Amino acid sequence: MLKRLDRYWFGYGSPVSLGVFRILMGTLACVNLIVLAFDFDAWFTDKGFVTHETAARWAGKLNPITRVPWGDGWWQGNFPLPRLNLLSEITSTPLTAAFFAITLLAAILTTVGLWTRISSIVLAAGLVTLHHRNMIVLHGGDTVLRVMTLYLAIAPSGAACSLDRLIALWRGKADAQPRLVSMWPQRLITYNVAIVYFTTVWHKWFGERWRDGTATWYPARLDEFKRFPVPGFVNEMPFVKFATYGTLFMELALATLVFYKPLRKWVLLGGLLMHGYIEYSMNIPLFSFLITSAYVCFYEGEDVSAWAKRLGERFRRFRIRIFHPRSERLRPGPALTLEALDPLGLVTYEPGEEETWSAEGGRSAFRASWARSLGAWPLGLIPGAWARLLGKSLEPVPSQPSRRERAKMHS
Amino acid sequence: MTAAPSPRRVAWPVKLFVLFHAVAVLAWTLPRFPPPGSPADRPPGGSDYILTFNQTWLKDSPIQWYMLSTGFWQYWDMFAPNPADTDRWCDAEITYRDGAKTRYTYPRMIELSYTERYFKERYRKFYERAGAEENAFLWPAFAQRIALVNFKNPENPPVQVLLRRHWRHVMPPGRPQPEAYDWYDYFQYVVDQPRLFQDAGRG
Repeated sequence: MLKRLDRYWFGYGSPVSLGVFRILMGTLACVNLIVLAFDFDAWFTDKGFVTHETAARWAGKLNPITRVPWGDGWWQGNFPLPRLNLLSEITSTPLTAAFFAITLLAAILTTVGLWTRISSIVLAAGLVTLHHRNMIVLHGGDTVLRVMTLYLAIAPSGAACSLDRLIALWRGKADAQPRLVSMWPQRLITYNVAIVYFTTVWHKWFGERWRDGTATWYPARLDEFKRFPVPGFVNEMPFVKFATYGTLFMELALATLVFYKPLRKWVLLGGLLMHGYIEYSMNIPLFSFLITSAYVCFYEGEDVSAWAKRLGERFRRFRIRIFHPRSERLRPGPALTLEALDPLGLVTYEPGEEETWSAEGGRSAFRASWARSLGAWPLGLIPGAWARLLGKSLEPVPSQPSRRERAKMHS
Repeated sequence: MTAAPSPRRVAWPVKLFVLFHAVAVLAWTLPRFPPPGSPADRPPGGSDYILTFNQTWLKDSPIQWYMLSTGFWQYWDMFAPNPADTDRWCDAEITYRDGAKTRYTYPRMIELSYTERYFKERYRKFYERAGAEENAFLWPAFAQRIALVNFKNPENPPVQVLLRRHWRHVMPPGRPQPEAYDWYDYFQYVVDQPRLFQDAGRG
């Protein structure tokens, strides 16, 4: 049993799940920071609602009493704890704004996986600092984001689905398959997600409204929580009882049954439906997106890659052969890069008969290959970038020595 | 358990860290006993013994220093132990130097467009905490900011802010739901003029 546990937590596997998770979490970090930026003045400056002084008092209020066994009794004390807050002494608005901008830049770099080790650490440190600068406006989604970016910072999250890997492939410094990584960071993410659900059920079980099946009656009638309209019967008995007990059951399943492989898909699907409903009906920004983004970590990287290939198989009618100019050939590194940019396996690159790029069926080679290569989609934002990338992936075919040259070489 | 056989071994210090972290996260996130809203002398029963043990030996131990300092702190008591049953919002009466009064409504989610309320949700969260009596130390900065938001004319700046709380309880199923909100003026603040002018860039 111990050996199995050790293998589960500390075995090695594909980093693809972590890579997908990094893209999702990085994107949501960008959105979260952009949303915050609109009220930067109100939340992060001394002329806002939360000055340094009030923020410090709030943090002090949250300093718990620490108890340790001491002799025959207990020693206990309540003293200020050092919290990671790089803005603790900074009251300058321009400096705080610069710090905010650096954190946003780190979120963008983490999303695309460029200098991932450093950018993910900067993102985590930035978010922790901003959250410690103003803890009063944080909600559950912020906490999920902060905790998950901390995991990204300690994980090899740039080993797959990242610009770092594409650059290494291009330069011929990486293998076709991503290097195997230790699974413990990914296991910690899933463990933490399970803890979220497990402890929330425990907290709720203390409440008589959860026990008597009326809990969802109340938030549905709070004007300040409302988002999009829902049919009236959803917030009336007996549906309220169904929603209340259904929530408890679903959350408990997401903490326990999700680790049982035959049920995993159904449990996660149930979680997606539950959070989808919450996202639609209640104004709790990003929380549902953030927590469900972590669901990908319940799957091994190998499973995610295989799923992409199966999806590619379903889309096989979109497969296409792209022909490169006949006088040139694909360099090995760029060839692997193009393959990595096409996780569904829809594009094949072959030597052509013409002097320019072409595609079967008379399609535009650049447009057809870009549209089918999911990893290349962000390049669509830069006009001509994909065409330039394809052009640079080629090298001239060494010309065959002529008969006279061969004879000369022999002599 | 489908992880690949390990081509390499993870170092023991890393394994110890992972074990410590897993214990710390669980210990920190388990509920306190007795739960909020129940009598302090409520006797534990069944699984409550786990919580009291956790609280005594783990949660209140120096483990919390690790959780709080690093940013791994987390507590998942959303809508628990009972979901909130009170709708709250706030507005303020601003008095200007010339004696004129205006009413300022702090952003209310229900009055915003769907997009705006997504962007402004933190205003609701802030007031959920800042509106509570036990957090009265937040009120002066709150009122000062409201004065700044309403500062238009240097000749006639806001001199006083009166915060008003509005609330309405949601009744249990089967009972009539109140339509109207109760209200109560809960904090009167004399605006700090030098700071107001400095924050407005006119100091």
